[in-house]
Amino acid sequence: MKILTHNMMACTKRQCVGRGFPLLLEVKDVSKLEQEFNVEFTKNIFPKLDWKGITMVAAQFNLNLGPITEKSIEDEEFLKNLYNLLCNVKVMTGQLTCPNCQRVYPIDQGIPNMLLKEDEIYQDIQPEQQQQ
Amino acid sequence: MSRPEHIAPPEIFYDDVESRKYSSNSRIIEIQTTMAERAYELLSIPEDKEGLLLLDIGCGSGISGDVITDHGHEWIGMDISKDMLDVSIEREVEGDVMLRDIGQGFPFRAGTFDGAISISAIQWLCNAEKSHHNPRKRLLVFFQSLFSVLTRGGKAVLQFYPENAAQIEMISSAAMRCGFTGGLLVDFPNSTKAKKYFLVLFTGSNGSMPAAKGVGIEEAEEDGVKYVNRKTEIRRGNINKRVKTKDWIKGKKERQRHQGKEVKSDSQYTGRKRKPRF
Repeated sequence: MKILTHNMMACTKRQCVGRGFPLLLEVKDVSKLEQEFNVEFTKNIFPKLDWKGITMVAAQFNLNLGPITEKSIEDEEFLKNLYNLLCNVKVMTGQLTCPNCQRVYPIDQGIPNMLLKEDEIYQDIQPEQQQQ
Repeated sequence: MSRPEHIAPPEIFYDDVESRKYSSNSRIIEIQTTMAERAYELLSIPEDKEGLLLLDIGCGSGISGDVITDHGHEWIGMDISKDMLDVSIEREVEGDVMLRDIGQGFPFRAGTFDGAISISAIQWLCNAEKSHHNPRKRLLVFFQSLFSVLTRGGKAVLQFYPENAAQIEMISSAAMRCGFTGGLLVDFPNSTKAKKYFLVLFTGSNGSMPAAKGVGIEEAEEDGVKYVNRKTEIRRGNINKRVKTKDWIKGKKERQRHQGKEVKSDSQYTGRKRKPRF
């Protein structure tokens, strides 16, 4: 699982809607990838990122991205570091914990297991949709 | 054609053996790639646009993801079959994959993806695999969640194999109830085999439906997935053509003579059928 995915992810159990991110990341094993720096992509993804998640993960990997401002999007060096964090770090084993409901999602062989159990499903149907 | 949905739930049907078969069969790869290309085309992303983040629903071994990578975008995929995902890891696909039942919605923040594609996945949602499954509810959860993870103005192109008209109705009505606009697009509607259903959905109301392929007859022949049936082949005479003709036998004997093997000499009976004994 790339950090990019981690940044986009959220726990979707009903009680966690809007609060289920950033998931707490516990890393046991990491592998480095070597994808080429993609400016276009980094710029596109920039406004969508959850910076709380980024700073949290960056601290875990002892990475100092420097201060993040709105002008950071013009800073080539910053974008390069950001891209390396997002797309070239792959968590192979570890686990994700929802900050709200403490549900643990294991990561095995680089694949996070996001399957919910029977009693955790159907909680995210909104009431007005059910009435229709 | 048998329907895998009738055999077993997806996470069981696509086991180790089946996943490997699926991902090494060149015909399946070709069909999947063609459909993924078409789905990508239907997303109508401008040609010079690169570096978007797309969602691949039911990504399997990442064949459709490769198409996205080729167009210069990043993707995140999900599938319910662990074995399929293992194959995708082995193939070292560029995108990221996760294990998730799409009937449970998507575990992402709202407004994350610029678009979504899905190849031959959502018909699985029409079946109840477990006692607590309710296909209608699962479809609603699926589309609601899809609506929320797409950016405004985002598009989703979902290719699927409906079993009957009721399934088409069930799927598209669920999509419309969740706020999507758009509709069903049928490529090659006059062909049984090349016919493909695409559900083209927009989160905004400003999208216009793309045109279907192969509505005219001439085009249907050259484009799309080729299908060669064993029966047609026999009719065309490509199969069961007599192989061991007189010329072939003579040629073989000649070759063996060159190799220094002991070969019976040719006579007027060489290559003739024996007369029936009864």
